[in-house]
Parts: sequence; structure tokens; C-alpha cells
Amino acid sequence: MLNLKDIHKTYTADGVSAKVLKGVSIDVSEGEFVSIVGKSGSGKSTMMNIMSTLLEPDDGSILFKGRELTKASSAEINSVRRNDISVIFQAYHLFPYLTATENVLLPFMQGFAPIGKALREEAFEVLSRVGLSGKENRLPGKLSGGEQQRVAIARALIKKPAVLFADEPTGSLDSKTGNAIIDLLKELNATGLAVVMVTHSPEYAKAGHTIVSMEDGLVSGIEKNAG
Amino acid sequence: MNIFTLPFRNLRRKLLRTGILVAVFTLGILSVVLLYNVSRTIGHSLEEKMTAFGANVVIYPKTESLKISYGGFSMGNLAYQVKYLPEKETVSAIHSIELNKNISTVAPKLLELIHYKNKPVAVIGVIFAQEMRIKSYWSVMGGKPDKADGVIAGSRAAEHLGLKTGDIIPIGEKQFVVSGVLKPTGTEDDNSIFADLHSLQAAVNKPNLINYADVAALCAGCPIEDIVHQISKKLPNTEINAMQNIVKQRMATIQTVQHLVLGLGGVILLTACFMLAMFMLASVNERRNEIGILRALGYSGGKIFIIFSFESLIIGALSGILGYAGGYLGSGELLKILSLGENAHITFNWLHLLVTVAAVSVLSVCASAFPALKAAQMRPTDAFSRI
Repeated sequence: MLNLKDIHKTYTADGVSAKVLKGVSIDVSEGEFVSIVGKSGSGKSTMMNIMSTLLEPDDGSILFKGRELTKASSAEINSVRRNDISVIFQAYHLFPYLTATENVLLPFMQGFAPIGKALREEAFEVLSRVGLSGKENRLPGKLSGGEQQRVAIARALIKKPAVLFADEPTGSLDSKTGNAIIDLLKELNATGLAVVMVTHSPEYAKAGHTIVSMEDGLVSGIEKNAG
Repeated sequence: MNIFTLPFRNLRRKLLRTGILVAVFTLGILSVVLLYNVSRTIGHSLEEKMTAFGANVVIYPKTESLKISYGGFSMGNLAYQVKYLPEKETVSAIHSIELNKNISTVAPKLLELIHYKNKPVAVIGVIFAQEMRIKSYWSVMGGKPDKADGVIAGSRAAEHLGLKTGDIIPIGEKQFVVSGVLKPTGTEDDNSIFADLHSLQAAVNKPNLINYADVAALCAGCPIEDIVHQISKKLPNTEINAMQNIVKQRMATIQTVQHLVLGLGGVILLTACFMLAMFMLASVNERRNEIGILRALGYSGGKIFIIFSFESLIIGALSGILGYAGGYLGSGELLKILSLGENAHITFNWLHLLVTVAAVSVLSVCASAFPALKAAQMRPTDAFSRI
């Protein structure tokens, strides 16, 4: 479904260049759970940003459902972001002035027409699915870190994406809450949603069917997890 | 909920910041509206007052002679080439022009040369009520004529002829009584005697005849040429002199005040726009994460631009309404303080309000165009500031 081949990326700041990705290739199949692990500076987050279309590679190919994304227009990229992929972040990135339901409905606030009742009910349903029944009208400030991450996951799910990208989703959570989020991602993956998760934790990485290890801008190993 | 929910909610969340922005912009609009209203009213008031210091159009019979010494007439000419205008028809014709609203005063005059104690002196027949309107600088020692046979003597004429209040002056078949003496004016009025026009006409047997008429025209909203043209069409056998220098001077004074107000208003608005742009730029930098999330959710650059521009539009529209209302109410109060309330004609105009709100909204959107464009061009990873 998603095939990245020979991806290169270099950052330049103040005249100094840093080669972050030096020819990385990763494949993600439909319904697969891929964990990307590596130390800080290994290039895993850059890789995930490129996979999720948030960043353009300098070189290489990205095939998504047979479409070459490196040659796609910005309108096509926006369409992919809108319909096919979702991203959750370590810092949740919820809008503090919107309730949980409104944050979940954010992907549908792009139009001039008001959001209908059906979509609102769908948002309640997704929030219930991630365990937030009864907290639909709370502002993010009134929710715990784990609950905020669940709202972010609900916001990602309401679009019914093909792939969910999770960038260090447990990074800001205690281990108990982190485990619960990993369990939730596994549950979602079990329903057929492909998940790509970047984590520094080898323990959480075991949730994936495939564990991709990165080191110094290169894939240092690919491990298939039978369990 | 739709795309406008985000700007509305953000403005509501940052109430203090929104309040400051609206207050600054409102102050700018209020100043412009207030200064415009006040300057326009003062301009009209000023013109009315200036009009009181003299006529700006003189109408007299067509003549071959160009020798003029008093208000367009030479006393020497009077003896040999006197031509007259019919008083009632002339005054009526002047008041019947299309721009008659701009006619402030019509002061017809009949000039007669008489001898008093064997000395020649000019007697000017005037309608005192009209004459006083265009010569508010007159100050009479004694009293103004309250009877048809009352006359006022100019200061030099009184001194030269030995006239004082109560003296009798025979003119034609009638006796006139000096009711007062003019304080020196520094004009030709000092050398003459002023009598009631109709009494003089009767005394010298020239009923309904005048030599010329002074007209004071208000010209804030009209070119004096149009008034002259319209009068000349109504009175084809007359010559009309528009004292352009006086009119131009009056117009220039008003225009200077208005230019000053426009300049000041422009500076105030420019400052408000600059402040709005700075606030919006700070807002864009502060909300980088939000922009990043929106881009990650598939919001296009155009949608991001709309969100930020709409925030400015709300601020602009709100400021436009408050500024216009404040300027309208404030100008009334200011005119009262300046003791110009009686002459003030400030009316609430819905069209002006709409134009003001629309113009300020467009201005505020333009002012925030750069920050909004910056937000629209932000890539998701730039916005998160971490990769």
C-alpha cells in the first residue's frame, strides 16, 4: 500500500548541512502495524514525516496506493492528508479552545457549510470507541494526558484513514497510560487499520508486526514480530 | 461549525487581545469620522460666518462704462449714464435659480447723490435687515433705524457734514432723520449715508428701481460659476461679477482644514493597520502548532489564509461599526463643547455606516494579508518546529 524507496533527506541550517536520511526504503502493507525504532538523531521521525506527506524528501520515491506522491501537486497531497492518512503526535496538538467533540470534528471544519447532525453523532461514537464517553464536551485542559491522546486518536480515526501514523504517541505519558494507548492502537490495527508508529521504546515497538530499526539515517534492521 | 468557527473561537479565547485590537482600530475610525464630521460642520459654519463679511456676487445693469468705485459704481457715472434694474423682478429672479439653496442673502441698492449744507454726499438705499447680514462688522452709535425715515451716517460723512443723531436730512421730497452714526469701518461706507431703500425710492421718485444688488452665495458644495451662470440666464440684461478671490479664499480655508483632517485620519488608520499586522504576525507565530495540525489534516494554504483573514475581517467590521457610531455621537458632543451645536447638521447615515464598515473590513484584511500569507505558506513540519 505504501512503498518508500531510497529516500534521501538533508537539512541545511546556517550553512551547515546534515544528511539525515541516506537511502531508506520501507514498505507498509494494508492492515500492517509497523514500528520504527531508533536513538535520537537516527532519522526515524524524519522518515515518518516523509511517509505521512508532512515533509518532502530530497530524493527517492513514495508510492501510495499506486500513486507517486513525490510528483503529486499540493492539491493532491492535501487530498491524501484529508482522506487517506492520519497523524497523531507526542504533544497531542489539540486546539485548547475547542471541546473534545469539536477537536474530533476538526477535519470536517474546512468547508463553509455547517457540520451536520450525522457527523456529530459519528464523533460521539468515535469518542466512545476510544473510551471517552461522557467527556465529549470537555475542553482539552480538563482532560488528562492519556485522555487528550485518545481525543487525538479519535480525531485521526473519524476520517476513516487507510494508515495511522503515530509519532512517539506515548512520549508524554506515564507507563500505565502509555500501555493503554498502545493497546488501543493494537485494537484499531486489529480492525484492519494500518499503523506506523515511531517510538524510542523497544518494549512498545513490539506491538508492531514489523519492527524497523534505524541508525545514522539508514535502516539497520527489519524484524518480523510473530507474536 | 464550519471554517469560521476557528477564527470566532480564537477571538473569543483571546478576549483581551481582541479587545485591544478592536479598541485601537475603533479609535482610528472614530477619530476619522469625528474629525470629518466636525471639520465639515465647522467648514459650513466658517463659511456662513465668512459670508457675513461681504457679498461674493454683484449684479448690475449692462453698461459700457467700467469705472466703478463703490460696490461696482462710480459716482461720476451716476450723473450721466445711470441704468437701473427693477428691484422686485431682480430679487425674485435671483431666488428662482436652481441653486437657490446656496443663496444666503440678496441686498439690493439704490444710489443717489444729494447736497447737504451745499456739500455733495452719496445716499445709499438699502434694506437694512439684508445689509446687516452681509455687513456684520457694522457698529452703530446711537440706534439702528426703526422707522422708514431713519438713516445711518457713515463716520467720515457725519464728521464732514456735522451730522449727529436726530438731525434732519432732506432728500428729494422727504425729510429723513439720522438715527445713528457708523463707527469707522475702513471702507467706502464711512463716506456715505444709508437710508431705507423703499423710502429713498419714494423720495426720489424711482419706485422699484435699484442700481445693483449684492448677493452672498454659500459655495461649499457648489462652484460659484454655476450660480453666476444660472443668475445670468434668469437676468440676461445684467452683468454679474463673481468675486472669485473671496470665494476661492473661503474654499481654500475649508479645503485646508479637510486635507489636514484626511492626513491626520490617514496617519491614525495607518498606525492602526500596522498594529493589526503586528498582532496578526505575533498570532501566526504563536499558533504555529495549530497551523501545522490544520495542514496535516489536509487544510489547504487558501483555507489557512481565509481563517486568519476572517479574524481580521471580524476585528475590522466590529471596529467599523463601533468607530462610526462613536464618531457620530462624539462629533455631536464635541460640537456642543465648541458651541457649534446650533449650526451642526450631523445626521446618521446608514449608507455611510455600510461604506465605513466595508472599507475598514477591506483595510483590515489588507493589513493582515502578509501574516495570513505567511501562515498559508507554512509547511506542517515548519509549523511544529521540530522534525
